[in-house]
Amino acid sequence: MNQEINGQGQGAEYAGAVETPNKSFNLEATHPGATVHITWWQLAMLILVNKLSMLTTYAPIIATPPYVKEAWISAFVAGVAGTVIAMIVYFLGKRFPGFTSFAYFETVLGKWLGKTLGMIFVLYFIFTAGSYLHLFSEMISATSLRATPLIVLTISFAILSLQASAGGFEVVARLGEVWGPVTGFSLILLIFLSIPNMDFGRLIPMFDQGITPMLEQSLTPIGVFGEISWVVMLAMPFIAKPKDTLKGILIGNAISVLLVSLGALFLASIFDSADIAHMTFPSYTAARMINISEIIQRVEWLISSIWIGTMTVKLSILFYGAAAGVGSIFKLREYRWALPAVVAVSVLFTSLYYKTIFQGIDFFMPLSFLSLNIPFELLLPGSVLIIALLRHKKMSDPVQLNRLGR
Amino acid sequence: MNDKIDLTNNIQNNINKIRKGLGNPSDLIIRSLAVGGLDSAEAVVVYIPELIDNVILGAQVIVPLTNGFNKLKKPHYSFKNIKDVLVAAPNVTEVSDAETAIKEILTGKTVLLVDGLNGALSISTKRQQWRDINDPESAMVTQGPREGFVESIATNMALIRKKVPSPDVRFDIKKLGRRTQTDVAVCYIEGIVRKELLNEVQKRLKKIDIDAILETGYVAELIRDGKYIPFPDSNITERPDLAVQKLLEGYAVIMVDGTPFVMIVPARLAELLHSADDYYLNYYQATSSRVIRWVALFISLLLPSFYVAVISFNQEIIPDELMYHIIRDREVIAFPALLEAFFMESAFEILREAGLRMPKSIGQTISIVGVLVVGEAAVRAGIVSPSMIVVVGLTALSSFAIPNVGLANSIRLLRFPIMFLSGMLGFYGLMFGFIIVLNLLLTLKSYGIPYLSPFVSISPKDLKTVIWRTPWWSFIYKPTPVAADKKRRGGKSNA
Repeated sequence: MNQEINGQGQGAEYAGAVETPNKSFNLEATHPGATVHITWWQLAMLILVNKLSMLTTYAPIIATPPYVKEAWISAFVAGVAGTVIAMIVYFLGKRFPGFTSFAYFETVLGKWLGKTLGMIFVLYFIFTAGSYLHLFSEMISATSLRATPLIVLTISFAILSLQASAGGFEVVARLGEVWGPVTGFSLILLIFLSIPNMDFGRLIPMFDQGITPMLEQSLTPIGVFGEISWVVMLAMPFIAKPKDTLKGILIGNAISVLLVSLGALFLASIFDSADIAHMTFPSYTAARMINISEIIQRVEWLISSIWIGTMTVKLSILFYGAAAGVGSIFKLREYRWALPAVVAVSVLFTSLYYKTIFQGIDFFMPLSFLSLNIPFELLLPGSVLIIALLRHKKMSDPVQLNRLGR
Repeated sequence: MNDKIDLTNNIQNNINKIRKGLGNPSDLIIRSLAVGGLDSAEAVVVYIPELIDNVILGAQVIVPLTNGFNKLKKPHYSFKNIKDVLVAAPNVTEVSDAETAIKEILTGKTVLLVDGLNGALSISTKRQQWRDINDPESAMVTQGPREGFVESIATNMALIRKKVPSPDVRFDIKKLGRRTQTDVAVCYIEGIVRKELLNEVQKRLKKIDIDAILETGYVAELIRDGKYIPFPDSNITERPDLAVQKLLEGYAVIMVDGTPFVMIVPARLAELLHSADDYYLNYYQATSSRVIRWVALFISLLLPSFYVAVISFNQEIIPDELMYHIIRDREVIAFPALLEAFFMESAFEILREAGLRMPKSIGQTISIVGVLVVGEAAVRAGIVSPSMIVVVGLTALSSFAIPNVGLANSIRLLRFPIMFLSGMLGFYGLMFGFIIVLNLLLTLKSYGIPYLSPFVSISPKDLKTVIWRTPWWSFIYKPTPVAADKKRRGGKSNA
């Protein structure tokens, strides 16, 4: 063997050796993996995780006593409203393929008005992220780490989300893609393990208080389902096949409605309305009640894990949105430069503004939550769409589209 | 090195230039040959004896030259004629300057200088002194060929050619390392590999600027993605069959002269859990092995942290009966669970590190001493509890179930910070550490392909190939984001 190889010689004399290509290589132009693009499934999972992060946690969001029994129907009502809200943002984004919302605000409304609206959204993202930071930290503190200072939990959540959003929207989307199925399956597993604790008799009689209270109760879930608005707004420029966006929205929303509804049904069949009135985290309590033959018991760690994962996704979308907004408004070369500042302001806001867990829960009371969120989820994007239609504003950027590999 | 100095027709000057350029070394041999009779032209062969093969030098250079110069008349003396008519060695090149001649001598060639002729001849007489091809110790298999790569890149290339005797198998060779001038080959199969991947690999190799390349690890670190992420983005192996398997799936293999380890690029996390015998064992055995490796990966990363979190913060999740035993055992333990875990894990790492570099016989003793002293004695001394020994043992076993050494080492390293977080924040700390690691994995791309695909950017065909081992009689596809050739490799219709 050695002799044979020796015969072939060394270095460039190897048989089969070919000239090394000497062309300069443009990663962006030729390497599809190098472009930032997400799939419709990733969008669907982002929508799912974003919703489940809140709807599986605080009781008042889905079931405001004493209307617990019908909460699973309010998920459908909220789901329909969420789809309508998403459609408005979808049609708006469709007029400006490849552009971020902050870029087309300026096209539609003019430079200064557009920048102002962009800034309002940035502040909204920071405010929302700050509020969620408080709620999430309170949740962990109230359920497992009572002695740990809240600021430690707030900062740790901020670090997790900062790390994900610093990787770009693609990384945020991948994080959603990982946590979506994990959350969905864990929720189904929890429901399955809770079967011995369920009593479907608790669900009847239905509508004993009329339809109106049920619709009223749907207001907070509508606000949470309406959050699809900013998920779609931020994700749309990156979707590899724009025609699949609608599929992502509808499927994401449909899975969310089913799981939230199933979750509400599961809680209402375990607890009485009166019990839920005294609970802040009923799903956590339900997980704590699980005991299968004294072997599988107390699986609240599972629900805590879901929470931490889904919250990271939600916060990283918000931080990404705020930083991308600052980057676009101030024409920064890298949105990442704005990220530490955005996160720092959110942490500062949450530690200065929120003092108690109840302040956070008040944030979710149906009317206050909706009145704060609906302008950003529906009214402002809707107004921009109407103005764009009236002013016949529509554009696409071939360079950007090429970058996205379309 | 030296400035370029042309070799003139004065043989003595040329010898002096070479000798000076090499720093007048004691192991340089300048052997003169009387050619064309005693009063005719003078010729010398210059070489370093330890680098060349004396038999080849004698049979293919000295004998033909001394015999043949008599046949060649002086007016016909030229290096072209000497090369074409006299020298029997297969690889002979003309060189014109001393710098090149010196480089050739240092790479095991013999340089021929003839008085009256400008330049020199470089004759390949390199000594091939490599160990025999044998079992690759770093990657044993239950079924499959018992051959591993060796230190010679030429032999390694031949091993690949032997397995795939196709004209589409290509080797792009480069010399890397300013001083070592090491041969680095990029191997791929034309028509299967993606051009973009190949160009990207070439571009990264071209950017390498370092004085020496002594092992594949140099190249792997220099051209990797995510320079600060502690996970390998290439699959380093010494198994030719695994390399060929990956070549057939559209991957590129980078080989470095002087090491039996080659790197397969790109590599995703799921692929680092592949073993060569996955392709030989029955598909359900191979798939279940892969599942076991995934479980081992999670155990190896998280089990000690889980134990610490549960003992320190979340005792409620342990069934009462078991908890009773654990509490009873831990009653005599002086340290908190975190310190206990840290002590045992560190002890295990020290044992592993010590065992790695010991001769095999002593290595066994070390493991016995380790088990007895660190395990049994530590329990008796009240330093660790028996349940901790179970946790550490299971973790250690799991880390050895990960086939890729680089990945196993990364997991080992990351285990410690997650353990500390668990000790401080319980289950929340564990999740915090896990999500940090997950974010790192999600950020990483290997040559443009997401490191966690096909779990992210899901593709069903890719799942079939990468996660479970589809039966050969079923529809086998190449990994979708990697291969350019989308045709399936086998399937019912091909049977």
